[in-house]
Amino acid sequence: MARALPIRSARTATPSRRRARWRRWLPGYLFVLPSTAMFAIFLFGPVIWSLLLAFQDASLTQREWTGLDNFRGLLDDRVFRKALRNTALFAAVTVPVNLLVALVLAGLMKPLAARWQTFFRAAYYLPAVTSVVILATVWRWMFNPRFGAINQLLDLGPVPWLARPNLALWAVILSAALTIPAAGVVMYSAAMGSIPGDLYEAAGLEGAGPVRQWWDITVPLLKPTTLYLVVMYTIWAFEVFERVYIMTGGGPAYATTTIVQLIFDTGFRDWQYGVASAQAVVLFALVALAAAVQFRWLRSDVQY
Amino acid sequence: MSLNRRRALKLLAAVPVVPAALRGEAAAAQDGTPVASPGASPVASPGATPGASPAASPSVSLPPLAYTGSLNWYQFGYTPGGATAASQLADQAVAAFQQANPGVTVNIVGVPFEGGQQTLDTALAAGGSDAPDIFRIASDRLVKYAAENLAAPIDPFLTDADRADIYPNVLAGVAYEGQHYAWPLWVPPVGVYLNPEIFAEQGVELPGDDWTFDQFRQAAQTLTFEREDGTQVFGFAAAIQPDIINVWAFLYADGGEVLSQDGSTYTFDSPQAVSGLQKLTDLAVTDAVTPPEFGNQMLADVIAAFKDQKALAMYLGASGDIATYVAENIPFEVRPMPIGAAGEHVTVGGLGTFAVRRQDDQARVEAAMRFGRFLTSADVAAAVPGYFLAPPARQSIPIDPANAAMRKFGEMVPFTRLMPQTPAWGQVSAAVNAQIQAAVTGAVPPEEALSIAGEEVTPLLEQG
Amino acid sequence: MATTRRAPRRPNPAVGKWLAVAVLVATTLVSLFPLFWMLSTAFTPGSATIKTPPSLIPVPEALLDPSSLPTWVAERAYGPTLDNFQRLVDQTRGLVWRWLLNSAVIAVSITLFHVLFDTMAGYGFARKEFPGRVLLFGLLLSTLMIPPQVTLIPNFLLISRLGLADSNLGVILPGLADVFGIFLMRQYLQTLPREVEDAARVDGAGEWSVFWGIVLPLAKPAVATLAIFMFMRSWNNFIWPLIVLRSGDRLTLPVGVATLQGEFATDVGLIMAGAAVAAVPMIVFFLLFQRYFLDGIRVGALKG
Repeated sequence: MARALPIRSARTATPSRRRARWRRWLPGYLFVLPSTAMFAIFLFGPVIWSLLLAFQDASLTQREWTGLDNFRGLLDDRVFRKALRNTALFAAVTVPVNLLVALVLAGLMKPLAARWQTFFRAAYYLPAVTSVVILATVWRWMFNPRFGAINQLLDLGPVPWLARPNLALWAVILSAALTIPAAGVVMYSAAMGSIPGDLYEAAGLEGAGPVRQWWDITVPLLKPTTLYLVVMYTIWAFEVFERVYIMTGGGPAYATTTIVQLIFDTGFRDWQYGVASAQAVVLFALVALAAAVQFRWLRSDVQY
Repeated sequence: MSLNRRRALKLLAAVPVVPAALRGEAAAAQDGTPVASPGASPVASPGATPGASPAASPSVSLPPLAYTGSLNWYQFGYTPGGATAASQLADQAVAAFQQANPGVTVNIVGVPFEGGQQTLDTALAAGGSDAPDIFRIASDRLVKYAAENLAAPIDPFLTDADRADIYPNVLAGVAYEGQHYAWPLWVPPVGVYLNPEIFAEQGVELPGDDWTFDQFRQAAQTLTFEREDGTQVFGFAAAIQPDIINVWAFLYADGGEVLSQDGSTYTFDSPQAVSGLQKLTDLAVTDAVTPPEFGNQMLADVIAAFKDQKALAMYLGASGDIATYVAENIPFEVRPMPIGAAGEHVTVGGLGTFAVRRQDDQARVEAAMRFGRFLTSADVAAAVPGYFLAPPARQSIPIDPANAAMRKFGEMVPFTRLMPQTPAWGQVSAAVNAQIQAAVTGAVPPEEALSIAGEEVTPLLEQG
Repeated sequence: MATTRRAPRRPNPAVGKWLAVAVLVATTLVSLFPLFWMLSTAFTPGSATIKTPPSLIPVPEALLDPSSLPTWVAERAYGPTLDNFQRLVDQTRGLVWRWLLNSAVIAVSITLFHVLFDTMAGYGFARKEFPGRVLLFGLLLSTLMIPPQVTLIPNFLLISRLGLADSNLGVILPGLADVFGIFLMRQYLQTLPREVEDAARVDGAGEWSVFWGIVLPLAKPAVATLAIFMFMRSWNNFIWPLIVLRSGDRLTLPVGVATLQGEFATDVGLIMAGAAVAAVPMIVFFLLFQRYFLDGIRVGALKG
């Protein structure tokens, strides 16, 4: 909060007192300087630069101010709308599935002995330490119509998962949904561990079964964790790129083009820096909006 | 000398003439051990040279270069130190050039094949002392570099001998707004590769050059079958990717044309183009003679099915694949595109070129220009055996008479339609290919697909 | 059982528990299957990679006699070989080792810089008083909300202008603007007692020697978590190196493996060997330092 800022008034300072104060402050500034400089050069500067580019017709060698043209262009851009829809569908399916899976698995793990909990957490987390690029490469092959594991295991015949516009996005979504949300499991486990046991005992005495207890006690008390995870998983879903880039490259016929894939193509294939920056700004706005809505919606009745 | 043809191919055919060639050759050229090629030199062999005219060595009369120092040559698939035959070929070309022009040192900067286009773009955008002075580029992408003021016009350096030597339609292929922007190297048309063993297996007679689409379709149907060991053989395949135009040959064969010749109007929504796309779609959807992944198949997949799995009877490709098959003893034949509704031979193709980056140091530009001419001339053909892997852009450079497949491609050059010139070409081809994917996978009817592509392409042309 | 005190009372504990374990085991298998498939394909001889049923059961060469194995096993068995790895090295002309080296150099550099800078900044924010401290920290923290794609184009232009495109440093520098470590170190240092530092100061130690000699050693547990996370993040980073690097011999492993896909198309054994080379170091790393990873997730550091 702004009024709590520890900035002191310098109105009454004499030169010597000012020097003494600076001597006291200087080490603090020096300690945060290297990191802050990195942020200024490689984050804050570029964010502002990106905002400026979004209002320019900018390519490799040309710069020209064009006002809102880039954003107006996006409104009419069929591919951008398709990318928005694809990204939204990806998020709308994977976020709830990830949350639910994490919640259920954490709940199932809770009664187990500590070392078994550790074992399962590690097993779930193992794929997450591997680059998404690697996992997506594996998935791409598992979806191969002729010798992929998916068709072989399900005995489906040569279903070309990634080559059909109506299947490709679902195949990508499936690969994401089948990846256990390890961070969610770990965080839910930690949160469940801190719920007081006597709440369950009381509920048990009143005759509530485990499912009832889970629904009436566990789920509501996990709300802060849920809020955090919903926001984070939504952000990650909106930023999906590697999975798509590797599995389909955004095709066929834009069926799997997501916002970030489109930013990449627009910026680094077509050199349309201005348009790509406008797309990135829209992404930024969407992420911020989604987070704000989720905070409002989930925070209202949290009881600690 | 021991010459690895596939590596050579990879090095030299890396020009994204048809970017298809780039990817396919990259893929095809990588998987195998070096093979010594028998009759290594199509050009330097004694029987092949008599056709060379005096125009072949215009550089003889050129004054010494004012520039001393280094030139950066961005080359696909090059590995430092000449570790591979491909690198050796590049080194040979450089050595010959340096000998003729003492004081100039050429640095070859190797870039990977996959994503090579983007790599080159970023290097050009980055500028600086290690930026490319000379780089390979397909003529259809060239316009963008010209429009962005990244490529320098070659006209001040183009001699009358050069103008007389380079095929006129090819020279026109590097023109943009009245100037020429690159040294044309070669023209790889899209043709049909056939596996004669699969034809024999099914008792299908090999077609003549003047085959029709109906003959092609019938062959594709008969050649789609399951072998006794369970291998599924497919009659036809082709890659459809954002920057690969091979299947456009079908649309052109029926009289379609992607843009009007001046590049100002989208014309792939014509009934002729729709009819061509309908034929391609029928092969996939109605006849099912294509692999299940057709539509999103990479060129490397197609080539692997043809060459390694021997499970593909026909595919569309450029001349770059020849050397791979020769080196690996893969049975293959080449035919022109079957004749479609246009009633005569038509195919699509690219044009491989070397462009020089525009920069302030004029002496350096001149040196790069000199090198660009050398890399596309009869001089390099004479100095570096096995250099030309597609029909050359100059009349002074003959095709090896022993290379039947290459001669076939050479015969296609007169009816090869080069892609029109527009700065937005990359986006145009991506938009059209996305809709061709939609059509051949049955998601959208061909007519609608091509009209959707038009809605995306038209604003791109207006911007330019 | 140690955890019964907290477990809710169940009508039929045994059945419920076994059901829970069954679900956990099943999800573990789903979770690990892609990695298992990757490894078994990487070690499968070329001829056996593309067949039905797939060869997924490794059996030592000596025992690989079809008559001595049950049919079901024999059909799916393969004798593990290093053929694919050999081919990977040969056909990339040894580039894969360069990629490994590049990945290691980049990840180690980013990690070292972060450990130093983040601990300094964390210390500054936790212990030092200076005007703008809260505001600055809030500003840095707010970058969590900014999708990294927003800065791709400006950072690319910046790195290009600095002449750092296609260099390790070009990958490393923008990777240093990352707030997670500062947050982690600040939280940790706030929990430490100030007495030791103050005692050293009374003894006349300068600001830097207090930091270097006392704070940094005390922060070791948090530094370990931070180091492991930064290492993993930069090892797996994809889109930025993809944009910055161009020469075949300067790529990192994930980018290099992504190019294998395009060049070797159907040689799944070779591609999976490449994937394994990229994945295995992180997996081993995880198994060795599991505890720190799980700590890191709990403070909200990592995707998964």
